[in-house]
Amino acid sequence: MTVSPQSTIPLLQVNDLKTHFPIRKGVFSRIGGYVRAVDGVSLTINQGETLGLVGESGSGKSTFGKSVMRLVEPTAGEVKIDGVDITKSSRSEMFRHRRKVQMVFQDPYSSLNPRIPVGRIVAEAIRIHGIASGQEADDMVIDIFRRVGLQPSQTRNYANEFSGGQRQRIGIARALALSPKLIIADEPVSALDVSVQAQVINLFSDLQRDLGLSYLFIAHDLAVVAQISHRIAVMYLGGIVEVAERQELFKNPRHPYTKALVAAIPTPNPKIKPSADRALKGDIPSPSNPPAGCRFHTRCPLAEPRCKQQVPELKTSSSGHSVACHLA
Amino acid sequence: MSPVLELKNLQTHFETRSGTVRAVDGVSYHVNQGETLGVVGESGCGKSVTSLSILRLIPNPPGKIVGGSVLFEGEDLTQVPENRIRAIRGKEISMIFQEPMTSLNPMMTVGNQISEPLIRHLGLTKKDALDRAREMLDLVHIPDSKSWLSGYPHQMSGGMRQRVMIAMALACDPKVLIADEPTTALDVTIQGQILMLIKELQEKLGTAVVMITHDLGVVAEVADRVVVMYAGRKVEEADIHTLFERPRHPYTVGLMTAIPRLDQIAEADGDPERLTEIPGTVPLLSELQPGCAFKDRCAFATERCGQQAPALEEKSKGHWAACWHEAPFQ
Repeated sequence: MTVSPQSTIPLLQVNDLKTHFPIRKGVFSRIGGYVRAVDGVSLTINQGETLGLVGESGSGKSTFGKSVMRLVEPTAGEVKIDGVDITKSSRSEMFRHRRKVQMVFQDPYSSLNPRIPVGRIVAEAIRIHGIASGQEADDMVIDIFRRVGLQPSQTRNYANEFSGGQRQRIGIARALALSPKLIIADEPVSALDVSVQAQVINLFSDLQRDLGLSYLFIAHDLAVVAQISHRIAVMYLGGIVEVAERQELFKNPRHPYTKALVAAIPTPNPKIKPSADRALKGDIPSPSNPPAGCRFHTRCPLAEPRCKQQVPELKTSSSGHSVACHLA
Repeated sequence: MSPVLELKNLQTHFETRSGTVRAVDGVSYHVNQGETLGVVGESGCGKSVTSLSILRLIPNPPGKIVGGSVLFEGEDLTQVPENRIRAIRGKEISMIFQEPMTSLNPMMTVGNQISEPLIRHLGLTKKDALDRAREMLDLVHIPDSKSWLSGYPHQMSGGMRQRVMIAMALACDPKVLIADEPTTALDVTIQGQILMLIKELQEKLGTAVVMITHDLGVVAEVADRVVVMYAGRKVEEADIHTLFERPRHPYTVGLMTAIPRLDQIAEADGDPERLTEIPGTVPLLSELQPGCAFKDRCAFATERCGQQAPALEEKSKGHWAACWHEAPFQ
C-alpha cells in the first residue's frame, strides 16, 4: 500500500462537491426542484492509492465519478487534481487535465464504437492529445494491448468480435493510452461473468503495481471493492457516511448503514447463516426529496429524535476513520 | 420422499443459422417438497432455458424440447396437452424472473394482476380475488396494501415490484416455485429482504423452490442442494455443505476461488490474496468441440478430456460430478 508523505498534495482532492440536476415541470419548463445526486462530498485520493466508493443505486456514486471528470458539471465545490481546481478550468485547460484522469465504464458493449477497429479506438486518444502519431502511435497501441492481456493482432478487430471480459480490457487500454495518473472505474466488472470478473480485477491490481496508478473504484459490490481498495468510502443518498482504511472499515464499521451493507452480503459459506435482523427496512428514498436531518434515519434501526432534525457531520478520528452519525 | 418435480435427461435445442445449439443437453435434477434446489451457472450455461422448458415457455421455433421428460408429480409435462400445461402454469408451478418491471403488466393495477391467476385458476369472484390479493400483499410485507391494490407497477420501487411478483407467484399456493435470478437486479440490502421473504414463505407454505442464480453467496444462503451447470450440462450436484467442503469439479472449485470473499478479506490482516482466475471465457454453445466443455479453461485437463466428455458419476452418496479427474483441485 502506498501512502504519500504528508507534505505532498493529494493527487485528487474533492471539497464539498455538489451536483444537482434541475427537475423541470410544466409547459414553461419551470424548475420545480432539484435532484441532489451529489450533495456535499469531500474525498481525497493519493498517488498509487485505490479509493473504493460503494453505494446502492441512487446513492450518487456514478454522478460523483462523472463530476470529477466534468462529464457532468458540478453545481458547487472544488475538484483539485495535483492541486489545481478544474471546476473553473476553461475548455483547453480541461483538455490537458483529462490526460491525467481517465474513465472506464460499466458496460463494455455500449462504450466502444462498433464501427471502427479497436486499435483505432485506442489510437484516437493518443493522436487527439498529440502524444504520438503514425507508426509511433500504432506501436504504443500494441504495447498497451500487450499490457492489458490482448494480442497485438487483435487491434484490427471490431468490438463485436470480443467477449465481455476482452471488451473491458479494451476499455482499460483506451483509458491507459494517455498515461493517466488516476482512473475512475465505474462498475467495471459488474456486467461480467463471475469467472471473468477475477481476470479484470487482477488486471487492475497488476496495472497499479506496474504503473503506480491511482483508482477511484466505484461499485455496488462490497466484496469486489474490498478486494481492490486501500480505503473505502460508503455513500448514501448523495453523501458520504463513512470512510476508512479497508481493514478498519470491516473490523470496526461504525455507521449503521455500513454495518447493514456488510451484513446484507450473502457469504459463500453455507455454515454462516445470515442473522435474521440484517435486512434493512424499506427502500432508499428519492434524492429529489431526501429526508431532513440524517438521510439514513428513515431506515436506521438506531434512529433517535435528533437524527430527524440535525444533519450529522462527517467527523474524522485520530486514526483517520471518518463517520457521519450522531450515535457513532 | 418422492420428488415433486423431476427432470430426466432434458434436451432443449435451438435451430439457428449457425447450426443446432444444444442449450440444454441432457439435464436431470429433482426437487422435493419444502426443499430449495440451487441451480448455479454463468450466462449461457442453460440454467434459464432449463427452467423455461419445465413450463414449456420456450418459443418454438427456434427452440424445441427434443428429448427427455419433466415429471411433475409423475405427470410428464413435455407430453401433456396445451390446456393442461396452462392449468399448471401459475397454479401448480409458478415462476419469478430477474426483472420485475418487464414481467409485470404496466397497464394493469397491482390488485388486478394478482387477482388474475386467482380468478382463472381458482374460480374466485373478482371481489374475493381482490381480498386474497390484499392478503398476499400483506404476506410479502408491502405496507399499506389496500391502497396499493389500485396502484401501478411503475409507482413502485424495484424491491416492491419483486414482492408483487412473489405475491402473484404464490397466490395460488403452488407446489413448486421457480425463481430465476430473483435478486440480481436489486440492491444488496433489498436482496436480503427478498431472500428472507422467499425462505419465510417457503417454510410457511411448504413450497419446493428452484433457485437459479450465478451468485454462490445466494446459493449458500438459501439452498439445501445444488446443481452446477456449464455449457448446457450438469457438471456437479451435491448437498450444499458437501459442495462447499469437497467440490468435485474443477469448474465449481474455480467459481469458488474466483470470487472476492468479504468474510476472508475482513479477517485477514494484510492485503487480500490475489484472486484465482479461470482463464478464457464461457464457450459459445454453437462452437462446442468434442470432449469436456470445460477442458480449455481447466488446469487439470489431459488428453482424455479432449477426446471424450466425462459422464456424471456418483463420487459419494448423493454427490455427482462429471470429471475424469479426482478431487481435490485446489
